[in-house]
Amino acid sequence: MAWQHPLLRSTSARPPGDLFDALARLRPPLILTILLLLTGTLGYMAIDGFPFLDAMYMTVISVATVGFGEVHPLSKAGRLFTMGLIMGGFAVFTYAIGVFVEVVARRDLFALMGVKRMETRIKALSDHYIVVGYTPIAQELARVFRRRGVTFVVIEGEANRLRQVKNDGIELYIQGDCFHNASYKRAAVETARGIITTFKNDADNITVAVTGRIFEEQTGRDLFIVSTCSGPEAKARLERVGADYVVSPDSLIGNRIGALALRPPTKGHTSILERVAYGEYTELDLREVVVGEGAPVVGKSIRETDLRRKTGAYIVAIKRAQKKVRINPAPEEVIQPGDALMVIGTPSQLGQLDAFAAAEEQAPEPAQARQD
Amino acid sequence: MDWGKVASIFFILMALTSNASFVYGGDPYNLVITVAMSLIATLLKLGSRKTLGAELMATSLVADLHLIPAVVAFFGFGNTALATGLAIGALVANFISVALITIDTILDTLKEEDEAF
Repeated sequence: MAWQHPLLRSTSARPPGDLFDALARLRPPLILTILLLLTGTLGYMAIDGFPFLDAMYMTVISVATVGFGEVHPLSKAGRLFTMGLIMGGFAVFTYAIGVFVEVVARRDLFALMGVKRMETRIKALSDHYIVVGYTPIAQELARVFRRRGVTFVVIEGEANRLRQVKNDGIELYIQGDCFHNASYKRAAVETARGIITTFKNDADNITVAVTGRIFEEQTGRDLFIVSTCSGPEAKARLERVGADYVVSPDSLIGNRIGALALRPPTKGHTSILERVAYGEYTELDLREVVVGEGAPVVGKSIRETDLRRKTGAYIVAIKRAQKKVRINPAPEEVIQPGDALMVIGTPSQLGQLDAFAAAEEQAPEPAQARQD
Repeated sequence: MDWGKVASIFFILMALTSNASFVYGGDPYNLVITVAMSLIATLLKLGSRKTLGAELMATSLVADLHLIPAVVAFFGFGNTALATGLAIGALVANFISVALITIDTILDTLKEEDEAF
């Protein structure tokens, strides 16, 4: 590791190049300036018996080389002292200006202050998603999240991808190592809803999933961990290390193309159903809720629940344990505990479902739903 | 040896001891040195990532905001009583700084031991 000035050395795991480092760079010139002023003031007071204010004034005009006259006549010793002070002052001021320019211009102090403000905003977040790595899949995900108003924080450390994060106008991101605990802490993992990892390399996804599980143990908060994988073997590994849901991009794309090939869309027409399923149509949404024990709808028929009138949402399918999915269930269908209801409605209508189902919300499982 | 920590503790202690000297003897040189040492101690906390960095910075600022008016009162208006009173206030802040840096050192040591395992 390269030698670092003791005054600049840090004990934290934060990456170099942040606001703390920039501020630390300003310390040596400021300290030297204070020491110079102290030496000058005390020197004039001691050598020529100047009063404090005059001594300080004399020091400042000497160091700043403004060429004002002497406040009081100087002795020989006083003149020698002044010469030394002017030379010392010149050196310190030259150094200080160099450091200031370097910090403000090259390190972009104002941009770093913006990053600090952003990290303060991130600290205040709750129920957000942490997207680890700004891969092409994460880019698409970010678009969907932004359209749907989902709060998320991107962790990215690689320069090119970080540039992409900024170009895409991602509001909240952490510049840091995707596999370092400190990055997750900075992304407020203790209040997060889940972690999403979409690396091409399965080992990277496994590392993120394991890190998420470790934070889960430490914070006692459940994290919904979603990962991509390269194939069935990697999927099994990821599920074993604790990923809640593993998606194979190859399988997803294959399924979607297969569906298109089987039912080719009309040329120039984009299917509303497809747009709803992929979150591209924000007015309408699908949600799956599992009915909990003792929920208000248990033991009632769909008609009796009066869900449609009360919320505006519509039950389009029911999946009962180890039974086939009942599409478009009859109004007489009685709802049982453990039933997974697929409901369609506007986001605000779907938001009212918890009060009826009183069940844990299941995270959307688009791939599985389509495969079923 | 962590020379950054040496510098930081040196200036905090210098601020405390020179302040105590001024409070005891009322010598103007001591007051000027105290202000300079206290300002440097504050600057050393600029950008600090210590566990108790914010608390240390706050106590240092309190000391500075007592000592700068003390200098004005002493040299500007010749009000020695007010200057001494303010310096005593700064002295309390200096003592708290020393206590905090001691706690911080203990926390750092514990953290290093944890990381070693």
